[in-house]
This record gives sequence, structure tokens and C-alpha cells, in this order.
Amino acid sequence: MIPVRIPAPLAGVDSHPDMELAAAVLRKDRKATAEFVARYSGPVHAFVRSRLLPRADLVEDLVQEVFVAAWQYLPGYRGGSALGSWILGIARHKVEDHYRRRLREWDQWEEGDDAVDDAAPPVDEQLDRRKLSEKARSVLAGMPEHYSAVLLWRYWEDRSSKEIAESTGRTGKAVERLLARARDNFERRWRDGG
Amino acid sequence: MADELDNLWREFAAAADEEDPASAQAPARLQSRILSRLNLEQTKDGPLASVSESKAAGRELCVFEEIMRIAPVGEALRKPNYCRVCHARVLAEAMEEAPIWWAGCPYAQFHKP
Repeated sequence: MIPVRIPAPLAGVDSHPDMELAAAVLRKDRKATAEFVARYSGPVHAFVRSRLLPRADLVEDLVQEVFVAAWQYLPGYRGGSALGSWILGIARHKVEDHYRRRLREWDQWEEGDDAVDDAAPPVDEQLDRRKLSEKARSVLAGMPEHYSAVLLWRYWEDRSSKEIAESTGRTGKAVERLLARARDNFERRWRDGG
Repeated sequence: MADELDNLWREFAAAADEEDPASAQAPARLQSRILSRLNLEQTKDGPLASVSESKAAGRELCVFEEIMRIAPVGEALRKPNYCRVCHARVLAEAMEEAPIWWAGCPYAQFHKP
């Protein structure tokens, strides 16, 4: 547990509403803490839920972890970004930890058919953003977890194959092979209707 | 070719990443659990700020907290986390539509439609 101290910038008078809320939470004002939860749990929950597909069962625990981490790191918040963006940054780190664990645990990196077609994203349907998003979520939710994790990490979180390889202790080639299989799997499920 | 494919997938992901407006609010149960967990973390190295301080900061207290605020007791007795022993918290953490309506209660607030 990181010791909680009120840093100088938060201790003084600051009119920035995010800084005021952060300072009040650090003072352990119970009502400010409730406001902090009410204000940011929605975006954090939505983000984590979209990134943990298909593991809906892990979402609530991870969201709680994000808030506990936010409490621990709050003394370091200096208002450089909005508090909402700051806490979503923490959520992003937690989600990446999840991907890292899932792909490290996965033990079939060397198996499977390497000769999959490099599937292009399914763009042949005329869907508005909302429907596209819904269908993508539905497809991701039905995929094997290691496939959805690597796709979400690579494309939704925009991490390079090299970064994923370094994080998981695999080679870039192994990550590329996994991505190719995941793209192929996604594309087939999309065609089948998600 | 590989880069082109990657770009196409990135564009696809960006397009498919629209947030569902219905999910803008976390489940009330979850909000309640997060608050309880944060209050627990906050009391690991000392008590919460007193209810008097919350009131002075312009925040609304629930009826029990208000009683503690005006009661002739020392400031130390205005600092405990009374929510720990309140039925509202228990219900709020267990149910998605908990029957709690106390004014000034954050758990009730989470459960407001």
C-alpha cells in the first residue's frame, strides 16, 4: 500500500474542480469519495467491459481494482489531465495486465494451422457505428479468450506486435501467427452472423 | 501488405469502438461495492474525515450522520465509517434495485433510477 499523503499542489487552494475532488478524496471525505465513484465508475466500467470480452465475469473485480489503484496513486495526481482521463489510464494498464496474464497462461502458441489466410476486417456490410460496435462486441464475446485478447490488445488498444511480444515473452513472429489466426477466426464468426 | 492489413484492422477497431450509451452508468451494486472498498482502504491508516468536515464542505449527510454531527460527542465519534453497520450498504451491495431511499445516503444515490 502506497502511503497516502496530500501533496503540496493538492493541499492548497485550487479552483480546478477535478483537483478539488481529488483533494477531498485524499482528505478521506466520505461524500467526496462517493462522488468520485459515482462520477467515474460508469466510464471505467464501460471501458473495462468492452476490453475484457468474452470474460464478463471478471469485469466487476477489475473495475474495483482500478478504483483501489486510483486511491493508491491519487497523491500523485497533479491535474495534468482530467481526472476521468487519468483514471481511464489506470484502467488501461489494468486491462493490459489482464491481456498479459491471459496470453502468458496460454500454452498453445506453437500449435494450430499457420497457413491461415490473412483476413481483412469485415467492411463489406453497411452498418452504422452503433451496429458495427454491437456486432464486433458480439463476435469478440464468442471468440476463444486468447484470440479476443490479442485482437483487442493489438487493434483496440493499438499496441504493436513487438510490444505484445515483449510483454508476453514471445517472439514477434509467434504474436503475428496468433494475430493471423485471431483475425481469421473473427472474420469467420462475423460472416456467420456473430 | 501486412502494414496495410494492420491499418485496416486498426480503422475497423476504431470504428467499432463506439461506447454504448446504455453502459454510461455502472451497475448500482458495483458502485456500492467500490465505495465500500474505497472506504475500507481509506481507513487502513486512520479514520475518515469527520461528518462535520463533510458538512462544512457543503456535502449532504444522511440522517444518522447528521445525528452524530449535532450530538454532544467528541470529534473522534464523528469519524467512524457508520456505513459499515448500516443496512442500506448491505442492501445496496447485494441488490441492483435496493429499497433504500435515505436522503444524503450515497448508496441510495447510486440506486436512484
